[in-house]
Amino acid sequence: MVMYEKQALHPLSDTLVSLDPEVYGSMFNLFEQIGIFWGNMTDATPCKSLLYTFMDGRMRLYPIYRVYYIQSGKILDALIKEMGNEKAYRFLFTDKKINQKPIETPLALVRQKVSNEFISLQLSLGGFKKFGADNYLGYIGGAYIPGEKPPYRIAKEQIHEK
Amino acid sequence: MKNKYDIVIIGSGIAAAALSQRLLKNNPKASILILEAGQSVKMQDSAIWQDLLVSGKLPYTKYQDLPYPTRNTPGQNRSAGRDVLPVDGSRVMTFGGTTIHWAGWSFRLKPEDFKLYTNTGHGIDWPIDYDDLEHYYGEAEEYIGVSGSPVGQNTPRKKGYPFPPFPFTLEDEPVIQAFRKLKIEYSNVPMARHGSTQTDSPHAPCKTTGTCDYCPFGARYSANNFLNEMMEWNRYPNFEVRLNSVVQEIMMKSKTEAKGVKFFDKVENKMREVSAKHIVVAGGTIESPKLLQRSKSKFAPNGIGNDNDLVGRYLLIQPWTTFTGVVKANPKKMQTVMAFPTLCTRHFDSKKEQDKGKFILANWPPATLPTTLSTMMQNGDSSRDIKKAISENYTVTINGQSEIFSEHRNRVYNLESKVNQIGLYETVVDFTKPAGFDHRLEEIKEHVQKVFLEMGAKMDPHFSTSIRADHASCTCRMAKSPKEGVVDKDLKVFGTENVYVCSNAAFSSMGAVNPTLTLAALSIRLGDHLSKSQKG
Amino acid sequence: MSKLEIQKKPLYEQLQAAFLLELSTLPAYLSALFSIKPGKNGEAAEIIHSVIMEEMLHMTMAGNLMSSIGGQIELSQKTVPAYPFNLEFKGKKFKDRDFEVNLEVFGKDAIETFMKIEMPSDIAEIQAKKYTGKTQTVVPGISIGEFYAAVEKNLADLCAQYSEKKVFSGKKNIQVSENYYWAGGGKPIVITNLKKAKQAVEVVVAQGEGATSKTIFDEDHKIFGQRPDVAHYFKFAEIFYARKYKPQDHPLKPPTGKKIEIDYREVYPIKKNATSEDYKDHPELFALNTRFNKAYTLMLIQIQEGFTGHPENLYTAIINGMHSLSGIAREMVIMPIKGNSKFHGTPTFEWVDPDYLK
Repeated sequence: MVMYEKQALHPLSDTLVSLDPEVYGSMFNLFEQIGIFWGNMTDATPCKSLLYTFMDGRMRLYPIYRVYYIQSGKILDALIKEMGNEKAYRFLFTDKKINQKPIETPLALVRQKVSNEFISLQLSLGGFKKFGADNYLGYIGGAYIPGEKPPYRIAKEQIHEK
Repeated sequence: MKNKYDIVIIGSGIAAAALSQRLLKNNPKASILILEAGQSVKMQDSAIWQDLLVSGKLPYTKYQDLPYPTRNTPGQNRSAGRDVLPVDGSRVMTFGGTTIHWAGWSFRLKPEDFKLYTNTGHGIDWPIDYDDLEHYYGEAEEYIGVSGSPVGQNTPRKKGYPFPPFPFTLEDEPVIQAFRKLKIEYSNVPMARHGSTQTDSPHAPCKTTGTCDYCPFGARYSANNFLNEMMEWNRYPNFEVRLNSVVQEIMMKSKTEAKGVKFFDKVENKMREVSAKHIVVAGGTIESPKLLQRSKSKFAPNGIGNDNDLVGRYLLIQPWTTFTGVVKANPKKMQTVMAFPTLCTRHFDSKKEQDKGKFILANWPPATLPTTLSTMMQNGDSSRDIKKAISENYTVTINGQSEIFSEHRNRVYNLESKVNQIGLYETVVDFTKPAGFDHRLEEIKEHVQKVFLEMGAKMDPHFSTSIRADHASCTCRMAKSPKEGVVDKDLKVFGTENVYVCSNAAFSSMGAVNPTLTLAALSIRLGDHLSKSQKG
Repeated sequence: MSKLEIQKKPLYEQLQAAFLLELSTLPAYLSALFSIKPGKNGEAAEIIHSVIMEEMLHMTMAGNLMSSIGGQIELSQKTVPAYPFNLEFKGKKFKDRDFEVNLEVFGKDAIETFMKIEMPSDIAEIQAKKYTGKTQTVVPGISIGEFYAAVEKNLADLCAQYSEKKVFSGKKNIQVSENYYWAGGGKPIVITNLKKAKQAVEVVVAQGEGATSKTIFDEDHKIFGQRPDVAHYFKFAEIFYARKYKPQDHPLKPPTGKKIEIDYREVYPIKKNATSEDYKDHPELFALNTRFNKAYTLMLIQIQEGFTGHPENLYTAIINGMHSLSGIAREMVIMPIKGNSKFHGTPTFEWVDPDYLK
């Protein structure tokens, strides 16, 4: 019988030591900077627990993300020390070389495995709204409830049953 | 597992789910065993869902066919005809079958579809007509939870849809305006998902997440969710599902009577047998005929129901064409928002077009992940550049799904030298496009061109047509006599007393619409039929 | 602080208690449910499941009531129930909750406790009379029915003094609407005025504890247009008596309808009120339990966020939290505990700070 499915989990996930709160904190800083840089999320705080849930999910499926998050914190710290906060994040978000595959440098790892994924997440948590739409692929827009405002922009012409 | 059941169903997709639901509604104590060759996929898991979101990966692609072998890649299955009909990606061999990934379009056939031969001289007529199936279409729509509106569907109906349709999106607006100018009647696409209404449902309403390939809420019908729900509280004490059970053959005890099935238990690593009073083959268009073909015995040297070499033949698909056109200037910032289409037209799905092959059109902005927004941001493009790109132009994508006609030479059969990752024999697909195939697509293109012209959009003259096996059907077709088909009007294999085929394979023809709703209707109808015959 | 704010304070306390009242039943009902072996006691399991769904709806209603008047639900380590759980309000025990609620196996004990939890106040009076021969002496305590009646009265009094708009000053868009709750049992009500508040209270009272001795039905079919369904107390009574109620059955007498198959032996012998300490010699169970508790805690945190301004976080609470819990629980209950193998594992529903808060 197939009634209850086990939670999807990598065989090693349970055995690994959990992430330090500092690592979560530094990843949230990165997440926050995305909204600041693109001007599409002024207050990222409501998304904090959702970001952490996302990170936990990545680690649950692919334990290597634990290493990615820890190392990314350190790499970003070093970059910020070198360039200052604003320049460091600008470089992270816009440099073309570190966005190329295959991933060959630590910064490329941070960009592609962490920052780019956070961008996908941020957009799906509401960051897309600044770009004009009411709904978005990956955003939980809500149900269509007849009589209420639909969860997406609709056409002027609708079919009305007689 | 017991040794004997009243009904053994092979396959665990929507046919098996709808059929067993009806059998158990009629008799909650019915003795039913579902044998599924594949395994199950974890559904509604948040980490898997977010994996899809950021990487586009899906957890069930490993249960799909590989592409045909090439010089450099091993691949699976064989293409034997003049044209290549890909199978890879068209079906999922798992608990729940292909509904684990289908798009959910839930159209009814039209009355004229049942009279294809009478109307056009092509193919054959169904041995039943629309009125025989109308009641079951209603039952199927309720079972699945379909949202839609009868306006523009032109399929006679006694009851309304169980759920109201999703409103047309903003992105539908330019296409609707073009349809109106051309006097093309349009319609909501009937969908296997619904909004939130007063109607009770054990299944979640759609939250317009746009990630239908793996819905985090289980809102789009998926047979595995429904089967799990049926098993949850042991309402049905004699209902069982076995996974990892590859049915090798149906065993006959006489020329007309089957006694049971032989299957390979992948977990115990041995062959097992189980007896049944009735056997229902619900393995899909490709596996169902293959099972009948390889069920050879002294009673059936060519396989069950195959004395006239019709099992596996008349393989039919629906060409799927993508037309794109660019609308310059997008001040409203239209973007792909929904993963399923809301607007379609059945204007060309008509008696007038039946002779050449009907077709439907749907406005379906591609809903691929990653999105334009995420790609541009990940690229490092500035907010200003992104906003500019969105407002500059907008690509309209109109899909055409069209009808071609069954031919005897097109068929599937077992490739017994190779076994796939599920444990099933691979498949030889022998397919050749019927005459006039390309010409018809050109005609369809001309119609679509008018729509783009009205929109002020520049249509890309190079359209792409896919002839994948997604909607494959007719390989064990229903007919009035064994000379023309494999099963009768009750889906019973000709010449047998107790073997049925409940699958798209049993269709006599397919029209221009997706087969799943019709399949669900046939399955529920078979359920009532079998329940009645059990009583008598 | 304005006079109105001061006057709202007792209501905030009452509604926080109401919320926790509903929440505290869930781990108890869930533990019993998880302990039922798959394939057995199906009808009983379905009954418990339906009650759980409605309790979640009640929790939502209580949460919305709080939000509607500008208050905030608090779900934290110090407010979340620990088991065995004894409910108190302002230091007083609930008259009809003067007993411990345990996390224990599906059995006669558990069902009797569940019936006591859901017992309508007038039935309790009648039972007490039967056994003592006199009216129950005034116990320093409060009944659930009285409790919700007090909430309604307090709201009505405030509305008489101030405008409804001032009383229901909370933001409408932070309440939990039907978009965020679809589990069944009915639909949540977004509360913007006294009439809606009364409706919300009516649902909770009609479906749950406040049902009366007059009728076995929960009356919400009148609100939700569903088929008439029996109130929680009577649902558990059906399990207790192993029979369904017929519409014409008398609420004070056992049901006379179809038999329900109950077999209290067909369960996993889960440990009563287990804590994570119990799994210290069993790494696999310990890991599963930790995973469960983390997901449970995170779900509560996100429910709190959901009720205090970010209803969209409820989606994550559901997809990430709720969807994963039963899978983990099912893995646990089949395992005998190493070092105490008479008992099987079961989730302990303990607050475990998510890693990011440690």
